[in-house]
Amino acid sequence: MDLLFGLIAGLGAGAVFAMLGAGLVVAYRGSGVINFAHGAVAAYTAYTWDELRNTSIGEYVKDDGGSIFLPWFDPIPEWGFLKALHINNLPVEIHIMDNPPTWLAIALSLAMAAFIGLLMHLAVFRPLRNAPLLAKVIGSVGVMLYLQSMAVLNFGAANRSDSGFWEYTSTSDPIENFLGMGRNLPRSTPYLAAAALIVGVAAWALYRFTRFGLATRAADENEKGATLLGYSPQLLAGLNWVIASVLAGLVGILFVHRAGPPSFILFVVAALGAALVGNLTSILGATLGGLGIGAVASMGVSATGYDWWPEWLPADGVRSFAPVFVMILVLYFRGHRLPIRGTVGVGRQPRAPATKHPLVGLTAGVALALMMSNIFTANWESTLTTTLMAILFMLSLTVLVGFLGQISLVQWSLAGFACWVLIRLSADGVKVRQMDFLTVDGPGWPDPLAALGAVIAAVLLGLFIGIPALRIRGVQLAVVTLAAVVATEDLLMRNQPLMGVGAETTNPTPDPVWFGQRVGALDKNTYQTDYWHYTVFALIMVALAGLLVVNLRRGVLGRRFLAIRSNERAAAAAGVDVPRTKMLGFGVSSLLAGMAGVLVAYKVPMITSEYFSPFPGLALLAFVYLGGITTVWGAIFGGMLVGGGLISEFGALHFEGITQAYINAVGAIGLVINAVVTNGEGVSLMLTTRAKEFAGIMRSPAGDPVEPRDQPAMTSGGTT
Amino acid sequence: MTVLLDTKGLTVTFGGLNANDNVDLSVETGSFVGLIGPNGAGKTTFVDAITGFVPTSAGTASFDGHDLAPLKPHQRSQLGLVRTFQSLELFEDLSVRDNLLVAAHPTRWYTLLLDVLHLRQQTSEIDARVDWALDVAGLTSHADALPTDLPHGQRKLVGVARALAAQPKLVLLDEPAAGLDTAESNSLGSHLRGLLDHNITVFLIDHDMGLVLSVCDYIYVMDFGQIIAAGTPAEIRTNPEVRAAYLGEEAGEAQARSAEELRGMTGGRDE
Repeated sequence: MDLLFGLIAGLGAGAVFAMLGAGLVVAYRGSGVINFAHGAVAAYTAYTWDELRNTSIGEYVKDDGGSIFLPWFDPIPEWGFLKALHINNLPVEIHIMDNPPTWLAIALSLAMAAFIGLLMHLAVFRPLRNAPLLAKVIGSVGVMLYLQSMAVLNFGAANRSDSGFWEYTSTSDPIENFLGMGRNLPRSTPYLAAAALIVGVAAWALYRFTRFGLATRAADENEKGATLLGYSPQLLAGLNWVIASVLAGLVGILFVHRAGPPSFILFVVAALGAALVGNLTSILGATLGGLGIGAVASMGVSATGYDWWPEWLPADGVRSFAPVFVMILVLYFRGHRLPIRGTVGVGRQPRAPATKHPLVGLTAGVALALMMSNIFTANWESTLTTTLMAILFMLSLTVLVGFLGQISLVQWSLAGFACWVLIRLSADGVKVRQMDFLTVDGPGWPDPLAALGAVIAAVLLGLFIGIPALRIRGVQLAVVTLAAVVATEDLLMRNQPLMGVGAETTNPTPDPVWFGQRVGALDKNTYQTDYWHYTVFALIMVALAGLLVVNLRRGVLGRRFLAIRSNERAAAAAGVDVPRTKMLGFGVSSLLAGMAGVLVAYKVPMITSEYFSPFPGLALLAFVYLGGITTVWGAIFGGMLVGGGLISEFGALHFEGITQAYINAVGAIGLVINAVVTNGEGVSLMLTTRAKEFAGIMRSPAGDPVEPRDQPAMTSGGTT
Repeated sequence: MTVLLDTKGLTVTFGGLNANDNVDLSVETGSFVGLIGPNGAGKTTFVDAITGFVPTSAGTASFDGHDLAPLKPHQRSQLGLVRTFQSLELFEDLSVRDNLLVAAHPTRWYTLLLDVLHLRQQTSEIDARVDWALDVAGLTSHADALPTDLPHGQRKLVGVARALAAQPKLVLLDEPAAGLDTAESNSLGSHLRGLLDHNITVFLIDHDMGLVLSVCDYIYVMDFGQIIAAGTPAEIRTNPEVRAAYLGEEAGEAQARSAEELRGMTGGRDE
């Protein structure tokens, strides 16, 4: 009975997944893009709605509401002499009226959603329409990151509890003793389910029966054909983006009484599951799939209440695993081991040249880092090690995404998993430091052994998550791995029976000793994370990892990785064992991610699973893409760009008030520009190419311009 | 001579349609066998089937004494059954030489270790093979170019060279001459005959009757998925069924004559 009730109660959340899933299908059919930012659009709209009405309860009562915040920030600084110049800044906040009526708030919120949809189309997906798949995925991840940062910048970090459209919260006035089951059902659940069905059927009818729908379907199946019939595919795509975003905005307004806006961003995971059930083309399929996923997840959570349920499967983990489970089933049984004739992706991959003189770079890099370590004060030492940590992690993406072409979003979670396993394995139930509240019990392995165990655990999990990649490729793999991010956090990292006490909140990280040397970052005397032993330790790890990646690229396997990235069918015909080589790539990448996890564990004094939540991971992907995902230099450059890294900290010195949200926003913008302008080759490769051309011009006698190598001149604006 | 490739009753079905219907075909070691047929006859499907890119629904295929059914595409390739693609399918962001090297390096379980330690792997032998393959295809001067920078005809040849670099016993060439002009096509034909001296058996698929008749020892003719005729070039040339179904009376005469001349030029032998 409890299970049945769980099933029905899940229809509320399921309705949200259904409506978001329907929107994803609309956007996909209109433009061929799977929009990871779809949930973020819902979140931004929910914030807009709440800000207009200002009914939020809590410490965050400002005024009478009635303002909208445009989805950008004012990049023009206002300090010092700049303030005196009275530059007409980019408008962000627009006040409409005090206490606007509900209908106006709805209209304005949905208009905001439509505006965001139009912006996404014009600024990102239209320029990317002929780009390779990776660029499109990265572009949509960039939009997701951008909207998330914009929400933080414009609406603050505080969560909202809006009473919503129906003017009650999820707990007030429930349907008591629902159908005699002895449980209370939130009153909005049946309304939400009905709304999802109405929206689904209406959208289906729009595409089934109207001329606009017919044109969209025609353009989806054959863009050239539709153009010949006089339809503009780009106009159609733009309209579809607006419709999809309005659908997302509707979800934001309808569901805000049940969940805070920030959580909407990750609803996209379950919504993607729903869209996949509809094979990305059927709106009704996505609607039913979403309701189903919500119901199954909720039933699973109910099941965790029973005595027979194993303790090591926490309720949150079950909830977030449900969409992953559905996705993997759907994709695995629909996937093909090798792409069939004529389905190979179009668009050129970014170049991935081998590094020619790694020892020179290595020596220079290590020397420079050691010099910095000597000069730097405590804070800067920490900045340096943050950079090193990010570089090591980014190398894992260089191998997997850059070389092998497998777009995996889960690698940061693998680092997190390694971190947690390390803490658990090296713990012995004794306080690590005086100030610790919690003690983790564990087998108390010696530190190098525990680190090895952690890395191996990360590799095994990475290989396991890589299994779907044997049949699933491209954007679908990105979808599955994004779902795996959420599942890993809830199922493994926050799993108390598995990870020990404090798994959910904070874990004291160990105080590691390797071969008689303390290598942790925390200085026991000063309680600052600046111990130079750690810097040296991290430097050694990064140097080894960098050499590994350089050699891999120069070797036989690196060539095979690139061959698989380019064309799996041809690689198989050339005798390359594609599944095995892919698994090798996942293994090496997970090894590097695991090593990064070890560095995190040794650096951060108190770690929470927030540290490994999806957004930091996506930001890291954004920055390595910006630096250049196909080369080791790109990873190094990306590591410096990352929030808390060298370049951004130097930037923060000169521009006070720069926060993580700003950095992420700038990163997201740079990422999109990079995807559009340089085909994702990144800043470092662009710089070296320019430098070589420049050297060529200097050398050639009459200064004849050297033939441009591949592409017409690229503009460098805005990428730094 | 021993039989290298042998199919018995090979059938490939796409949604109720037999793209290959009961194909019996054999290729002897050291021979140069052709498969011709009009567009859509099922020639590429046949290559896809024996190299493992489409599943067969009935029949058997064996290569060099191995039953092919349980083998994956890369395993078939490692056995020495190597193909080219009609639709190019090159590694577009690797240089021509790297394209060949992907195929030339053998797979070992410790490759990862050698790579990471940056140890050289059998370089001289592999380099020699790659250089030879580049030479056969006439690509030596383009070894460092990207395939996308080459004209279409030469890109085709990169595919051929890549197959040769894999050290094949039997190379299946899927329309290598499509997109080449007559002179290039003739020169390719004479190069391909030279492969026999390197212990490479050749299976040539084309619809260019002139090329096939001039270089092959034995020819199969396929139409609507079925083998409608088989025999020496002389027999195929005079086979009335082939003439009627495929060549058309007069065109056939003309092509056969030009093939005759070409044969004299390239010094190809009769059976």
